[in-house]
Amino acid sequence: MAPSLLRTLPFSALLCGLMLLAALASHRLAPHSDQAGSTTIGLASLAPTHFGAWRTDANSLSVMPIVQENNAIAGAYDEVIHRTYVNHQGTRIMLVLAYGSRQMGATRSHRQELCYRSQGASIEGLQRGAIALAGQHLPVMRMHTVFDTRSEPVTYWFTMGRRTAVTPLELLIAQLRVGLAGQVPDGLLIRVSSLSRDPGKAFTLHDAFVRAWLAALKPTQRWRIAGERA
Amino acid sequence: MKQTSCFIRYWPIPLGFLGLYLPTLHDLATKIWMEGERLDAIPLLVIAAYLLWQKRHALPCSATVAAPAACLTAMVFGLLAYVLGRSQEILFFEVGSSLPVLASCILALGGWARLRAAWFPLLLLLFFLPYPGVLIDSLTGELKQHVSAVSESLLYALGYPVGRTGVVLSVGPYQLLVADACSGLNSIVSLCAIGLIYLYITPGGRLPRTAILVASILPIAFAANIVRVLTLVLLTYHFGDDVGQGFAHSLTHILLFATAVALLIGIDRLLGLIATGASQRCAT
Repeated sequence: MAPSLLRTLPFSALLCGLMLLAALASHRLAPHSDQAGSTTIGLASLAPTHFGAWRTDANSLSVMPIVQENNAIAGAYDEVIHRTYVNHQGTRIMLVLAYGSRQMGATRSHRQELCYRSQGASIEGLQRGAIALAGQHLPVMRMHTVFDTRSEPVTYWFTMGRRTAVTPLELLIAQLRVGLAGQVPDGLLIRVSSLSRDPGKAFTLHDAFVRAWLAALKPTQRWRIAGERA
Repeated sequence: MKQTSCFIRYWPIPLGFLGLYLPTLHDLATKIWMEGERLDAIPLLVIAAYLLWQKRHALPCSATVAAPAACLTAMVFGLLAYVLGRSQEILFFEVGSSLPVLASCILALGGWARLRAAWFPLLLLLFFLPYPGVLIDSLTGELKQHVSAVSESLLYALGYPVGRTGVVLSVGPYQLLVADACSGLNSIVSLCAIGLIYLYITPGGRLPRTAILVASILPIAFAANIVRVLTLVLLTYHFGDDVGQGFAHSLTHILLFATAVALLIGIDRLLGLIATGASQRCAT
């Protein structure tokens, strides 16, 4: 038995060692939160009550939920605000900001088309787009949602850490970049929408709204919404 | 005696494996299953583990390490996925890594022959993996629409006051959302696995039978989902929201799997009848 032990045991021990090393490494590489316990960033200050031609409207429109109904993993966000803005022409825009301090695992941001679909809305023309800002193209997702008589073109995007992301793969990559650097990735969902039957016109309006909004923000706040790099 | 010596020669391998995946199992239990999600995957894990355990005497474990290069390659690949998945909480990578790691362990214990003998439990694990929601949604999103549409037309044909907007069914005063959790579409992966288990435990597999049964697994899953939605709608319509959304809601989940198995056995019997009929005709 001794020779066969000598042939197999070292190799078994090597495999065992590799496995236990991996268990240890994954523990070491797990990001640890450095801002102890702070799970909010004060979203209200990121959405001023008036800027450019826009001011918040007390008669807010009913807003679609940001997470899927019946979803046990609805705890993705720590802080959420809904605002309805109106301009001089009486055009209304809905803004939703949702912040999650821990964008990992089950608590990752939700693709908004799934949330609308799970409410029963149908989604048309879901596609990538970009908002032209000064010196930057902000990547966004566009879609035209229709629920019964409610026709709502939607523009949305995420920021993860200091990067913007639109697709699930981009979110994953952004999460890994922050996470592997040892920090807990935090993220923000930005959703701009309006009630309109003309998606093209609505998206132009969304773009103008976002440009006016970003222009009104301090540089220290701007990266939260538009990121620093794509 | 033989088993003891096998264990003595290879004991560090199960030790390492448990060190890796007991924490994963604990997380799955506390974070996913306790929340009532993906409960249908648990039997798959139990069956896969049982089949693996059953196979342990099938072949003697080798006296020397049979395929060290392949074994180490699979192990390193699996462990990289594990470290990335576990440290960054990407459950699909973490649980998915168990496939190459397990394959590597089996290779070390008994070489390619033992790995071949364990093909079915490993295949079952493939169905156990927590696939990203993105993937499941893009595969079943269309299906969900069709399930609601077919349910609506069937109910309409039966004379019920039914209407539909997207995936929302309204019947009488009630509105039902054919949501992910509700229609059990997440369980389609598990339904497919049940079909494969049925094929595995009922031998007598001539190629046409196996092919037809494999091809019927997805339609069966579709039909079982429709049966479930219809049952939920009828329960809600006749007995109210409390019944339709309460205890009966969980019961219909079991109904989903029962329907699928019944349909599978039904089709298999039918194939058997056709086959005997054909062979009798040939004989006369």
